[in-house]
Amino acid sequence: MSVAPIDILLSALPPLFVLVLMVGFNWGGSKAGPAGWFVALLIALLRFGATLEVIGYAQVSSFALTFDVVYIVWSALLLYHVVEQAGGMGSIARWFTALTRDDVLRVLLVGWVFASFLQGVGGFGLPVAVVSPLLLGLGLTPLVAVLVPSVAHGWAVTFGSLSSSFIALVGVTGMDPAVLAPPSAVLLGAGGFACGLLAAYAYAGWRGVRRGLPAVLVLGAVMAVIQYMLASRNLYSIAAVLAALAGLIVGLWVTRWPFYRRAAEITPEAAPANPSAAAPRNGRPMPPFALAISGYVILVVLAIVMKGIPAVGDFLARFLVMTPVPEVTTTLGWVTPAAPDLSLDIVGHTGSVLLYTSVIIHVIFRIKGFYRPGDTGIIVRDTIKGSISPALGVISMVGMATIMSNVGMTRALAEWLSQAVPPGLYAFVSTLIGAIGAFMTGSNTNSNTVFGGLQMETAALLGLNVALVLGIQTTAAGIASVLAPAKIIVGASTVGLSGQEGLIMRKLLIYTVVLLLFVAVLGAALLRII
Amino acid sequence: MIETMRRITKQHKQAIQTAALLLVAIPVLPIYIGLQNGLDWLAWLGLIVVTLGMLIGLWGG
Repeated sequence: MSVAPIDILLSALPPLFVLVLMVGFNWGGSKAGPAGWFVALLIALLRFGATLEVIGYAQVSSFALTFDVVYIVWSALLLYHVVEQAGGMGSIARWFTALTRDDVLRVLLVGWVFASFLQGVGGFGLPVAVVSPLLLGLGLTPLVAVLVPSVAHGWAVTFGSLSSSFIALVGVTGMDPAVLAPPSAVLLGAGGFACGLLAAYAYAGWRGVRRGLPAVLVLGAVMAVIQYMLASRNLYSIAAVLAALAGLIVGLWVTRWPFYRRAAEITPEAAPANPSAAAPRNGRPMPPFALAISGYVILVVLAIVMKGIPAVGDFLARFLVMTPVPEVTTTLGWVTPAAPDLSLDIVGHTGSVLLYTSVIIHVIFRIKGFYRPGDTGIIVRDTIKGSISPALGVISMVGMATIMSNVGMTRALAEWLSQAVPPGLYAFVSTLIGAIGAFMTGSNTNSNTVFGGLQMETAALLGLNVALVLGIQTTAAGIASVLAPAKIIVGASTVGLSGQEGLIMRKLLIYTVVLLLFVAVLGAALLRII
Repeated sequence: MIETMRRITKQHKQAIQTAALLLVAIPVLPIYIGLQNGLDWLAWLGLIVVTLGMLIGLWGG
C-alpha cells in the first residue's frame, strides 16, 4: 500500500517543526513541545480525520505515559537534592578523586564510571553537572572537563534514571520488557567500551587510550555483563546503577594493578589536598562517604525488594489504578486497537522507590545533624524548580506522539521508510532517527516516545527483528542525548564556559558521530545475524 | 504591550509553566469521564482547557 506524498510530508511535519524550533531557534522542550502538539493536532483534525474520541483518548493515554516518566524525574531530583543539601555529593566526589594517582585511570573512574553511576541514580544532566567541576578540580581544562563525562555516560542513559527511557519505550511499543531488554543491553554494553575509550581519548589523546585500555576492557566488560544480566531478568530499573556500582567496586581493584601503581603520569598537584570526609563545607561538616553513599545503597536494596521479589510485586500490584481505553477509529477508517488497561502504579512505581529512599535518607541525615533549619524547604523548592519545565516538555511531546500514532501519521512515515530504505541499511536509518529524536527533544525518553512506534512499525514492515531495531533506537538516542542543548548548558555553567556552548557542542558532535557510527555498524551486523 | 508581556513572562516563568502543566494534566479526568459516559460536552470542555494549557506553555515554556 502506498502513502500519498502529501501525507508523508504532513506526518513528518510535527517532529520536524519541533526540531527546527529547538535547533534553529534554540527553544527549550517545554516551549517547542506545545508547538509540536498544536501542529500534530491541526494536521490530525484537518487531514487525518481525527475525532473527539481519537484526540481525547490520545490525551488520556499520553497522561498515563507521562506519569510513568515524570514521577521518576521528580523523585530522582528529590533524592539528589536531599543528598546534595547534606553535603553528600561533595563527600562522594572527594572519595573517588582520592582513589588513584594515575591520571588516566582517575579520569576514567570519575569521568566514566562515576558519571555513569550518577546517570543510573539520577540522570537528566546530573553526571555532567556533578562530574565536570570535579574534573576541573583534577586539573583538566574546562572544555575537556565537560567533554569527558558527556561522552562517557551515554551508554548508561537508557537503563539509567531507573530506566525511565526504557519504560517509555515499553509503554509506546507495548512490547514485553523481557524481549526488548536483552538486545538493548547488548548494544548499550558494547557502546560502554566505546564511551570509555573515547573519554580517555578526549582527556589525553592516544596516550589516554593506551594507558586506559586495560581498565576500559575490564571495567567495560563488568558493567556490560552486569547490566545485561539485570536487564534481561526484569531488573532493568536498576541495571545501569548496579552495573556502574560494580564498575566502581572493580575499579578499586584495578587501582591496585602494578600497571597503574607504576603511575608513569603522576600529577600529584591535581590530587585533592584533603580527601577526608570530614572536610568543612562553608563551615558545615560533610557526611562521611559511607553515610553519603548509603542513600543509593538503600535505593538499590528497595528496588531489588520491590521489583525483584514476585510476592512483593504481587502485593504492590493491588494498588494499581486501572483504566480501560477502547478501540478508536478516525473518519478515514484508521483503527487504533483497544489498549491493554492503562495503569497508574502509585505504591510500587519506580518513582515511589526513589521517593521512599529520599524520605529515609532525609530522616537519617536530619538525625545525624547534617541539615540546618530551612534546608528541607530549600530541598523542596529546588526539586520543584527543576521539575516543572521537563514535565511540561514530556507531557506535550508525548501528547504529540500519541496523536500522531492514533491517527495513522506514524504508520504513514513508517510505510514510506520501509519502501525507501533497503532493509540492509535500516540500522543506519534507525540510528539516525533515534539520535535526531534525542537531540531535538533533549532526552532518550522523549526520542523513544516520539519514534518508538515508528521504528517498531517500520521494522515489522521490513521483516527485521523488531526488538533489535528498538534496541538500536534507544542506544542511539541515549548516546545522542548528551548533545541535548539543555545538558550542554548545564555542563558549561558548572565550569565557567557559559556562552561557549557552541564550542562544546562542535567538539562533542565529533565524538557522538563516532559513537553513533559504531552503534549503526554493530546494529547492522546483528540484524544480519539475527 | 509586547515588552510588558515579555517582562511578565521572564519574571513569572515558573508560575506560568506550572499553570500550563496543571491545565494540560488535570482535564484528563473530565475528558475520560466524558468519553466513557457519552458526555461529549465534558470531553470537549476538557480538551479546550488542555489546549489553553498548551497555549500558555507555548507562551511561557
